[in-house]
Amino acid sequence: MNANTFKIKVLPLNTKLYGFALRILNDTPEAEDIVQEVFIKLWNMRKKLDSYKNIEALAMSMTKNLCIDKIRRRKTIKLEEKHYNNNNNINEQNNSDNIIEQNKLISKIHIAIKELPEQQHIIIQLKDIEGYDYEEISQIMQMNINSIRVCISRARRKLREIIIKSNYEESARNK
Amino acid sequence: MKNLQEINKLLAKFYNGESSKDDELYLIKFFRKENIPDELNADKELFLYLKDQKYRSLQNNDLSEKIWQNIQNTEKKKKHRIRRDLSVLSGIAASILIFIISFHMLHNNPNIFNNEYKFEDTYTNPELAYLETKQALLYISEKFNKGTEQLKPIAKFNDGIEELEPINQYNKGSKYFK
Amino acid sequence: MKKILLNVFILIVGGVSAQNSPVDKLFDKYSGQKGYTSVYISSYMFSMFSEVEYDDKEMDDLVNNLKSIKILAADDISTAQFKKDIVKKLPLSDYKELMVVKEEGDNVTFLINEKNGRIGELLIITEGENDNAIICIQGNIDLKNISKLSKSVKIEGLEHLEDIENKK
Repeated sequence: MNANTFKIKVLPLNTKLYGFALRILNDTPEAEDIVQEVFIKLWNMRKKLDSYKNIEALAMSMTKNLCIDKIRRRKTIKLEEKHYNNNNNINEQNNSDNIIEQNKLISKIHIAIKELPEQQHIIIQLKDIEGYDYEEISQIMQMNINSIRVCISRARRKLREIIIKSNYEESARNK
Repeated sequence: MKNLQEINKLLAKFYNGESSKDDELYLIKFFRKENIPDELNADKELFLYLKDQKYRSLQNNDLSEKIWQNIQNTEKKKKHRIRRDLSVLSGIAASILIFIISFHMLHNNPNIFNNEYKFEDTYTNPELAYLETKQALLYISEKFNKGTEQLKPIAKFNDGIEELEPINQYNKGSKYFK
Repeated sequence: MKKILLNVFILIVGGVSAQNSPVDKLFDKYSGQKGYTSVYISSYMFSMFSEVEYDDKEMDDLVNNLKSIKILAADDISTAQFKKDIVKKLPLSDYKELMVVKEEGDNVTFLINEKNGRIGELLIITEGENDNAIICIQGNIDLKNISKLSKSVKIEGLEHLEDIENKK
């Protein structure tokens, strides 16, 4: 693939990749970095790109992997930070509570999705928000379709559960 | 509501991950209406949320410009790196070449860089050269010996000292008796 | 890195030039001149000596280690002139004076050029009524061998000198 074709065919994918990374990571600069990284990789392999049937799936797959790496690294950092910054955490928590008060509906489920196990989080993101079908998701995740279906099923049920639970708690509070 | 049965069917499919895109569209249309039964509240929230997110996903920022810039910068950096590596390499190669050439030249023509005074052999006949050499060397040898003969007394003196060597040994031994 | 290589290069060149004698310039200058006779015997010629049939161990020992002999002799020139032309111009600082042998009419000065404990060059200057010359011998010089030569070959040497007259 030459530079021009790359610009026309591959470059536009950036919006999807960015949206995906942003929703997974919830951090604008990090998401941007990841997208840049993915494109450098794609650029470096542009000669081989023509042999790929679904470049979008490839790009999404790369993005997914980098996001997972970031999330895992975050977890280890967070554990270390907890050790030293106990005071700060309390303040942060107060702030986020305020935001929740303002955007109850969205935040509730937003947090719920983040609480999902990594794989469920990513797959539900791909299916219900990005809108990919099972074929495409299997290419991105490198999983078979049935496993994906089971995963989605669990994720959706879990979310429903959480919504029900929080609604119940809320009505209990209001009484 | 006759639809309720249908809705529940579709919901069951959804939560099994078996619903089609059309099924999901139908459900969304349903949840948009008013008067949703209470027990389906949670599902409504879920569906609306997902729909909302999907909508937002279509409004992502376009980073095309930035990305293309980044790619070009990376390519430039690569070129710089290659150019720099090449210049270092060619510098080394040039040095090695100089080394090899000069070594070679010196090896073959040891005098090429010096002001070589081309002296020609005076004789072409080895025998003659030999004799002439011998003559010169003999002359030198005689003069040399004349000079060194004068040093014979010193040699005698040295001999004398050697005779006294045993005394030295005695001295060494007596140390231990102090 | 480049600097190191450049310096090594210069050293090689410089090192090699040490093989030539400091007096070469002088020899070269006076070789063709009136009143001077020069003789040059190269290492090539030396290597041919093994073909010469005279059976002389001491001579062989000595000659095997020599590279070249250069002789610059002044025939018709006064000692004073010789002194002025040659002796004064010799790069004496490159040499170490070994000894001076003075006899009636003659002064013979022995100079050596020593490197790493070995004598690479022997320079002999003779000044006298009959003989004014410089002899430059290059090679691995062993003074013992030089000394031995005239001790053992006292009479034979004179015989061979006649041969030279015949061959010439």
